[in-house]
Amino acid sequence: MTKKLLSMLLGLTLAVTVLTGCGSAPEAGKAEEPAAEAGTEEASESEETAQSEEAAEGSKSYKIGFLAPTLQTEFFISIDDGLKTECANRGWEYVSVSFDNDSAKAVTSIENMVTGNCNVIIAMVSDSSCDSALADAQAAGVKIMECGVQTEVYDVCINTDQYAVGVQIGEMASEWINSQLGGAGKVVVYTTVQNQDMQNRGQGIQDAIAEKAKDAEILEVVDIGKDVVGAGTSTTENMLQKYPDLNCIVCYGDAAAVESMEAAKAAGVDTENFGIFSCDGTAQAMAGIKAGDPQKGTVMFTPLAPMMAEYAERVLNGETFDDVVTSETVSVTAANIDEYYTE
Amino acid sequence: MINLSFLIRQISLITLLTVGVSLEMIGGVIDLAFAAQLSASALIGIFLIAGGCPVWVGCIGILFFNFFLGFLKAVFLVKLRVPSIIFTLAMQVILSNFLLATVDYTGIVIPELRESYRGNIYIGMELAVTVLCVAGAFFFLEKTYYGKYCRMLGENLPLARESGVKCFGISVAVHLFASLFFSISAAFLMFRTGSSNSALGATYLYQILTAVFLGGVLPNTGKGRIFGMLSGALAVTLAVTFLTGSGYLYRFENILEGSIILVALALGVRKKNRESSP
Repeated sequence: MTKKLLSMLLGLTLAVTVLTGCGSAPEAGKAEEPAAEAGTEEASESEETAQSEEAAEGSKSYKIGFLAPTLQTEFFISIDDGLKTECANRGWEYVSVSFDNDSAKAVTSIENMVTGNCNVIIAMVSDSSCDSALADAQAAGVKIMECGVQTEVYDVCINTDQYAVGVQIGEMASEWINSQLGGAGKVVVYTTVQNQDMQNRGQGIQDAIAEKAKDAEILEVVDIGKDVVGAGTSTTENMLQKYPDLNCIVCYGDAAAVESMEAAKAAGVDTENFGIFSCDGTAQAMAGIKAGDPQKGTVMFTPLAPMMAEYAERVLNGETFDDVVTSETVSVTAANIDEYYTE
Repeated sequence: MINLSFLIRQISLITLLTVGVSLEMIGGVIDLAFAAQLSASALIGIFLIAGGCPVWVGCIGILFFNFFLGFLKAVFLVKLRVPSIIFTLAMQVILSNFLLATVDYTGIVIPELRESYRGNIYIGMELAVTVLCVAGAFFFLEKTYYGKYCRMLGENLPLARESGVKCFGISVAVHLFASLFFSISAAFLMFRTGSSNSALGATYLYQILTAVFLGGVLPNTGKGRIFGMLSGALAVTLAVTFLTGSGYLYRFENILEGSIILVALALGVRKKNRESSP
């Protein structure tokens, strides 16, 4: 009986996967159909549908694969959502996968995206460990877009000097320490050694604080892991216990910063004289700045999803990019929050 | 259209891990530590190579580290009778955190290793190694006394002990043999990525347990056939391939795996209860 049930389960799994696979094969001109149906339901969506149809008429239907280190933080979720919209507007198919910071899963996912007929793979990999898989994908005719990291295999690379981003975060924090605290900052830096880019960003933060806020003291540099949900909360609780005079936390990313903000508020810190600074320009961080919470600043990138879609289109049209495409950044604080965030 | 070389590469690895974990499960151990063992041993291998040791020394390092952990499992699970889930869960946490805290992550990416592997090792060789290992597992389980005693251990350890079976020795043999499968998998991963970190292979945990259960290897029954293990590995590889290609992997992989594990465990317990009732 058990054997029969297990065999049925096995057969069912195989059948479901094969059917899913058969149903997913990209066909030119099919991707815009769901958009057309949706367009009849709501007037606001009809324009988008029309755009999709126009785009689909003018170009072939492509399939874009997005490989993210995680899809659990707002930064990556916003890229995922943005790409989904951009692809729908162009009449393209779109798939996304989180490799959970596991290079083995990243390699497998790249291979499976090739099998799944992706035309462009947007890879936000951590290091060069996926280069062989990316090279194999390239050899199979897939265009590779690297983002946030530069290795040896890509058709187009969108990147930022992470050390410079770190310096920008550090300068923002230093300015606040000097003006609000008279330079007497007691700072903890949250970084991670699990990724070379983030390590560079963390170093930039430390160097900028050491240079621009000479009287401030960096109490500790903590490795909080890469996009580990919950790490910001637990680390901040520990740091507040360990350093009662702590008045500034500088994080490599908004995910940890937003958690830190909530932990600091729960601990009852003086929100005016407690500053949290980070990077990514997520809505939660911006809302914190706007509300006068401990989150005092974030570095915002040019919205990545439209940029990725634009370069995917260009690379599919045969353009080549020898130089790295850099994305612009802007420091967002209470002084200019209204320009970038509306509730 | 399935890319055959990608599929063979993935099936090889998942088969090796499925057979390794199945051997342990037939012997009565639910191993939650093998994924962490995979990353830790690959990290040790690449650490040795990065430190200037020849590649074969790195591979020996991986093998010995896995043998050591296999021996440790036998000691804790059979000698000290610690429940396998508790012990392997603790081992998973210790392994995944210890190396992260002690090894400089950024120094352990060796692109040359990956390129050299890509240039010299053919996918057919990975497949050949996998076939040999599977044949070895078949021989071990079906043709040796160790295989029969292994099933006795898995079905009822106290009874096996009372029957005079040298449980510790058998358990050591089973775990060392399973460690060989984990070592080869860790080496494959290390060569393919030219790197390692504390998360390498972590996502295989649920995939492999799903493959094991789908293959009809259930805990505390001492039962399981090589054909079932191969079928489970094939089903999981195809599922992951098609779920990725269709964009459903992130949303449905864990739900699918969790559901299959629950159903399989429920079936196993039901069967055990039926068999033990008068």
